[in-house]
Amino acid sequence: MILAADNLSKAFGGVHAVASLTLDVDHGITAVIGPNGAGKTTFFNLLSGLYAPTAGTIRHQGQDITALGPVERARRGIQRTFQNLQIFFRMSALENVMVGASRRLDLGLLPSLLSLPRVRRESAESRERAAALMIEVGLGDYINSDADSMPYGALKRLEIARALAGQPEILMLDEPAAGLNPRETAEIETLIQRIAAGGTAVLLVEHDMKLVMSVSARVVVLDYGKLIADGTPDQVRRDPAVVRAYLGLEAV
Amino acid sequence: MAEFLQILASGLTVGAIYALIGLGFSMIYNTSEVINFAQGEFVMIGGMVTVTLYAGGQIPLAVAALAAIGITALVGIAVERLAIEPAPQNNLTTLIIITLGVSITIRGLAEVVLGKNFYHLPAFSGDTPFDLAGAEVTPQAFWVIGSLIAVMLALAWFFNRTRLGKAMLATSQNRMAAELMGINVKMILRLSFALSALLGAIAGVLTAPITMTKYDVGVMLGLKGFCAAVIGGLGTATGALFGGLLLGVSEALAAGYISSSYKDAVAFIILLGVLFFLPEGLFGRARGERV
Repeated sequence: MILAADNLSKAFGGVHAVASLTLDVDHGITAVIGPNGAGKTTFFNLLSGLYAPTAGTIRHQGQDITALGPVERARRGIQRTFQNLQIFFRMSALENVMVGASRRLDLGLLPSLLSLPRVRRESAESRERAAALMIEVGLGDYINSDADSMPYGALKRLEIARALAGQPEILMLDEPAAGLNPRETAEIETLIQRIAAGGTAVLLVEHDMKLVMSVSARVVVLDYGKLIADGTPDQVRRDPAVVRAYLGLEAV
Repeated sequence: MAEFLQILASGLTVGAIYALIGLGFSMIYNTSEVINFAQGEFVMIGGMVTVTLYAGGQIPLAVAALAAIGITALVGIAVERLAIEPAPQNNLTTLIIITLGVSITIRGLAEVVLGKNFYHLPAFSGDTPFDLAGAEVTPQAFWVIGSLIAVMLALAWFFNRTRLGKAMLATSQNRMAAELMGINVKMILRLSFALSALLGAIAGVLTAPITMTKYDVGVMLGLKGFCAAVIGGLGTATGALFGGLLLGVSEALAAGYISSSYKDAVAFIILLGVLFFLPEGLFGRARGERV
């Protein structure tokens, strides 16, 4: 397995946003769903190192990474996108993607600064790679655009391209289809499938059930920070606990 | 006309120094939102260490100047590592007050180690002035303005062309996203202090032959650099550049046509005016709340 959460908990005051969650993530597309406030984004923030857990451990490739900060985790190949866009708005789209490759940039700064030809070559290479990646995710028209002039749907994809630039081993997508129209959602679906087919594990938080059910091999369901179901889309859809969580007790 | 040109020349020279110092303020502010009130001390260290190595150590001026700039950059890293990094990062006011403490400490150390005297460096290329349409411009003025241009070009190259520069810009725009891209934000903060110290030291070395240097020159020069950065728009390079030049020229005009005793007041009057009418500075952009 790539990532493993073991008895992971995060409490904010008296609220147990994530409560004793044990979950392994492996290759392929795994969706994390649940009603609002179920702890999905908190779980992402724990995995990417933005929050320190109240209890429990996180392992990556068998190694305990609970104590590592977000920078170290990103450098290990755990990358993510955000529910609310976190684009570098005062840069071009291309530069955003170039910055995404930072984890593979050895910031040993003196050698890189003292050797102008090397800096020039690396900069040209990273520019080309970033442009190729943008074309790959369907942002070919925006290579020379400023990020702050791009439409919302393109920015969602720009975040994915930026995360992919780091060649992640696991990519966490936090509501990639939120706010997108059906056509854009269909494009995102194809993109997610291509990413997974390329060997990157995908962990997906998404409210669009049609997208979740058609794209995921495995769906895990959280409610009040607890794991209430884990299985194929079909198994989860028929699970009474899931129906109860989404529709309320009286519906069952 | 010759008198006006004379005033303009000296104003631009002083303004270029302010711009260099202001750039240092903006650079640290961009990466950390801290206003580093020890910026003036970097200017002082640059000048004082050059004087000490040159006069005391019999080291050639160019070597002494480069060594002093390097030493100041190391002091900048030490300030970040020893004073800023260990402090809780969530309270900006605390961090800013810490920089005031750092400034007082450095000044005190310089007073004890380097002495309380005024020191003077020889001008880099002699004192024979050039005649420009009746105005006498010293070679040192060309050094100052040439250095400012070189610094601006180097910074533009660094931020536009190098991946490290991009990583620094990314950090200043969205620290959380930068961390999640695997950018070592701590290293970027240290780098911003090193670069700011470097810019301050360059200003200190350049101005030492013009105004003389002393352990406490950093107080006034730091304040003027701060004014330059705020007038132009804190956090923007163009702002620091034009803020500095505007400030230098205004001071020179006030000194030339009114009285030199009002010179320092001009800086603060312009600062107040800009803050009243254009609180983001001449070239600033409105900053959203960071979430």
